[in-house]
Amino acid sequence: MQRRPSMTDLNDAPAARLYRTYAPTILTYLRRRTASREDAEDLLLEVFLAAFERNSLAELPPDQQIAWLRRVAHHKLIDSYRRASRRPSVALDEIAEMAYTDDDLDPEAQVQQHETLRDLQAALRKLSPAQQQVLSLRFADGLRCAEIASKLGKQEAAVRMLLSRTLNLLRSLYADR
Amino acid sequence: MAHDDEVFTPEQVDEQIEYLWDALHFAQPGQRKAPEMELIENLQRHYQQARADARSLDAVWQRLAQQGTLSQQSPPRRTRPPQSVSLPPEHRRPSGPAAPNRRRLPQLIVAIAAVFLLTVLVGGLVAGLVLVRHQGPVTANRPTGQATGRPTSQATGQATSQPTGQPTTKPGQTPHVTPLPTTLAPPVVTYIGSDGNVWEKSISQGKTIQITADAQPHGAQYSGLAWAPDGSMLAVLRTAADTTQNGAYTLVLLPADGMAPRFATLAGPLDNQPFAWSPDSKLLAYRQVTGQYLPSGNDKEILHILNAQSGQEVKSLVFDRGPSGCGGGGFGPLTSTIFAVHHAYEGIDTFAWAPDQQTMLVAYACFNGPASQIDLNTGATRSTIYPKDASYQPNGNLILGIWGDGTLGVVDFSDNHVRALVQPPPSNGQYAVYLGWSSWSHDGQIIYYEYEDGIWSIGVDGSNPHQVIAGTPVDSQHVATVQLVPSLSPDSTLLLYLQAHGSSIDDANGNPTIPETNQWYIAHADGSNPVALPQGTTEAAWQPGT
Repeated sequence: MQRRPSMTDLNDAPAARLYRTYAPTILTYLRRRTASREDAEDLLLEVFLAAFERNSLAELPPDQQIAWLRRVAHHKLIDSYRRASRRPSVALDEIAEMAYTDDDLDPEAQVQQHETLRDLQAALRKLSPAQQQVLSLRFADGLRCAEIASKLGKQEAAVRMLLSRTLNLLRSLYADR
Repeated sequence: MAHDDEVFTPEQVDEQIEYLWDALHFAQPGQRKAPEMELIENLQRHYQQARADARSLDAVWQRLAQQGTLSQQSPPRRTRPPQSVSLPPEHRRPSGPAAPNRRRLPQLIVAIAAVFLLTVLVGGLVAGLVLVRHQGPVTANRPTGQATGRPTSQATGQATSQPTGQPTTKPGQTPHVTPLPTTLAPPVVTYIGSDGNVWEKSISQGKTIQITADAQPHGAQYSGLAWAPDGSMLAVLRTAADTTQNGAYTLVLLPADGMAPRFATLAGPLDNQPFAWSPDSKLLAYRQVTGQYLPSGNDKEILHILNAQSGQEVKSLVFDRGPSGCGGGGFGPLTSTIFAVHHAYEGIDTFAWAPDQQTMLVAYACFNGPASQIDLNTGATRSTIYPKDASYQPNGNLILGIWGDGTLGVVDFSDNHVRALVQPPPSNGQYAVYLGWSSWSHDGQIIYYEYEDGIWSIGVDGSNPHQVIAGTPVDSQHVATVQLVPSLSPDSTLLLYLQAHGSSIDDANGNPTIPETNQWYIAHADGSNPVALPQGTTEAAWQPGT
């Protein structure tokens, strides 16, 4: 009989650390291979349930931990494909996403878009924490400069300066192509 | 004064961002975008995705915590949110009056509304034009034109409990199935082609006939070919594109005498090997995955038994599927393919009727251990010594299968005497197939099985074990060619099997290091003269009695 994780297990530092460290990577892997975000979440849950049941996983080196998690994710995917008779469904929100992102994208353009997004993500990682924070508040939270300044306790002018400089810096990525 | 390369200015940066959002909205397909426009577009994509991922990670962590505290409760398997025309938050512009997505929302609503209206109109028209013959409260929808002999049949709906004239399906959801041909000379193989449709092929005539026509990539699909033992009926599972909707899983029953196909809506999803026919070919069983737990904490599944003539449910029993959470293992991509072919996860599935039709053998847990036996009268489940992949000997008392240590053997179910036939080869890392699927000849005297990457046969008494078709072990590049799932034709002259070629390792992203290929073949029973079935065939089975 296999054991399910207890609340104590989940609050243990190793379990939480394992999840924090690898769940984003595994989610990305699953999300790109499933028909909907909900399916990816279900499989992510299964992968980490399996991980928590394997007590020896935390003792493995990091590269072996991620390799094991990827393999389990791979097999959970295979299992889910088979359960869905090899044909996953397409959720309406995915269609909406496609309607938003794929208006003018042939396969070549999709590859190009993927590359530019990857380049941008690499550039974002090189920004200072303050720059990343302002961008996140502007584009993820939808705050205008005055609201960002209020939230961070900074001068609005300073936020405007930081945001505009950051955008100009990132723009050079595209201007240099 | 800003420099030429400083498009964004501190004074107007908010307005500039919002102007670019607007410009993106009005950009023409294929139009080259200014660098700043491309930047804003990609920033928006990046942060939308990051926010959605953060929500997903948080939600799954909460569910993990819930799973820990509610270990005896139903698993927190999440269902999709109700389908809505509203875009999820991550698809909306964060703020500002001129979001580029803002005008897409009404466009999407109008588009979906138009599709819905079209669906209703076309569905109503179809329902008004065809005659739906209602066959009872459960299922069994007999298609149009049945009374006229052997028409082309198109089912008009899956939820047949609806009154005639009230369509329950949308265009594209309707099964399009023709009756089975009666003119094909034996032996005949039934297969599911690369298009996802069911086909029949006469080997002697070289003639191929299409049976279904509505499968589509990312749409409805057919799978689970299962011929009745007497060859009177073919059962196949039709899975709709959206498996979250009611009626997504349909049993299609095709009489071999060319009568019109029948349809029955199933409770789904189905577990692994979809269908098992009763020995008298009158009943059909399937297992429904519930996603729920029994009080013991084990997986709860439901065994459904249908009347194969009417499609009506005869009985349903809740049974113990064993503990879940197999956790996978160190398996490469080729092995994963092999598992899929075998209806296996960490072992091979079991789903078989006993000859007396009073019990059934089903896989338990991760299939590592022996099969369970369900009493079809009481619903009681008990453990057995019977192997996984258990199959009953035609006209005999033996159960064939493979035990957890890899031993292929038979057990006499009249006295539970076990006899090993083949021991697994030594584990040397060069053996790609270590599951060992096996099948009976139709007279129950010869067994075909997977061994050392190839196909072998052996007498039921253990005599004359020999290789029929060779495989290629894993090489230095971790590539192997393995022969799988052998099946002898009803006249015992031909052998149907699948050849899988590929890598036994994957890359860091879980992808095969070389592309995998699967190809079905039909060879003479001695393995000579293999001839390929159409490329991309996913399943194949002999039609009994042909």
